[in-house]
Amino acid sequence: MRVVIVGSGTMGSGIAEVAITAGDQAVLTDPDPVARERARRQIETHLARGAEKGRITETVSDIMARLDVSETAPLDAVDWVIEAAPEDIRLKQDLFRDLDERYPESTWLASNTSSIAINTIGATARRFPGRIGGLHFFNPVPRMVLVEIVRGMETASQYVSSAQSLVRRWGKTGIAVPDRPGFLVNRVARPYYLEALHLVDEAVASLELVDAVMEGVGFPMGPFRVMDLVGVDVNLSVTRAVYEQTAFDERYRPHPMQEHLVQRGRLGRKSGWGFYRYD
Amino acid sequence: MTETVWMVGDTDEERRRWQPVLPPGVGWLGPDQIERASGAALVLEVSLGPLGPKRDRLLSLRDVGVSRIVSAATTATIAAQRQWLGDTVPMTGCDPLLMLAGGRVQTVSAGDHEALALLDRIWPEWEFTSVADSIGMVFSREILPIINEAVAFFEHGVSTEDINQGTKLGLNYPRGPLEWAEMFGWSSVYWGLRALEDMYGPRFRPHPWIRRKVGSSLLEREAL
Repeated sequence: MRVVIVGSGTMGSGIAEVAITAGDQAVLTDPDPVARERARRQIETHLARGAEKGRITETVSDIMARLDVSETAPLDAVDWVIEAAPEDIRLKQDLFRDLDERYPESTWLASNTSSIAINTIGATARRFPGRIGGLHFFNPVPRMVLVEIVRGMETASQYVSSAQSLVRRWGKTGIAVPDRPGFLVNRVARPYYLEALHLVDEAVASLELVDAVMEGVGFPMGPFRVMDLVGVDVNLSVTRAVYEQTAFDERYRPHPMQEHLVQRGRLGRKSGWGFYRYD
Repeated sequence: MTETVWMVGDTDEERRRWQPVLPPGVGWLGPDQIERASGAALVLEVSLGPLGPKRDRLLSLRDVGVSRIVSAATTATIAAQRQWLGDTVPMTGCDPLLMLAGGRVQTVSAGDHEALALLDRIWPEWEFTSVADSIGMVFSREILPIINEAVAFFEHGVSTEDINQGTKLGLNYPRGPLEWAEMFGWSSVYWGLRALEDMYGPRFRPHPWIRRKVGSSLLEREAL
């Protein structure tokens, strides 16, 4: 099995690491040579750590031998192309139109988008629309078991079954979901954050108490701690994407409190201050 | 615990759901057994349903002379429930869904010290904390719209198992949304969402699948 991964950021390099660890060949592409080198080092470091902890049985160099990090991707004998480029609609549409023109019908084309509709991403890729769908991995990819397999309007049922086989091979659990804004996981999670913001804004409870109540029933982190962990800005951008793609459904209206934090640079743990302080 | 404490609900199904949470010494009374609560130190009214029968149960509890009531604030605020009773019985709000979920940190509203002290004695493993008097308090207001969102995926062909597994694996939730719904009962989910919709607007409107599941139009016409 040979897989091309487009984009060597956190998600792309995580997907490549999972693929080569499972015994597949992976070509990780990125136009930025600095990003490519960083991705290679990151994968190697993760694998070395996994070897130290006894999580992998092969040597790191044997696994790394299955990875090619390159500016351009091969066209022949590629089973899957998985796009993990930045969440920019135009960029992804251009990429998919290009991939659709260059790759034969037998190559499956998947986007790892977390928030853009597959129907939108593939809108201008019209040669073989049935081979285009979503493969939404979760961060950190090597640790998170779930993959959402997203069916667009014209995605073939064989895409779903091939995607199931692929993610199973990689030790993941695939769930087929419709191409609704936010897919399953990000959609179902919206009220967790938005209602928490309303509760604090309306002075029903403090944010510390909201977190404590939810953690008290077994949620690993309350909504405010999660927003600080993933980034207040990242969480807000997912909410905005769902809000816009549902034709501004009131249920997903971003909360001003979150917007104000982002405007002030209080992005969560990564900036040292979000809803909580991290000194 | 020497005080007489009862829990009051509406249906046998509710009694079955509450059995695992009922501590020793706290009995369950159905709507036709309320006279047995006469003189009780505390009664917890935990049923989630239409407001008319809830008001009638609370009035019956007042009339048999209970000392204190802890009442579900999922479908009506404690301020509204006090209007029914004319401030004759001290009342405290609780979140019955949070109690069913076994939450370590429980929320109460508009409570008095005596009621909180009694709750602490009944459930020593729980920490009771006050929040503003509001429909759904914290947990119900968080979990019910999550269930409402999840249900929408039924109509797109996603199975119960995949919805539950997806949220557990993708979000590390302790239960899937439909597992929560089964724990609470779909009727409670429906009435909780309806009350939130009344108070906070259409973002809580129960999904048509839930409305069909509980026969909502029939239930509401019957409650008139």
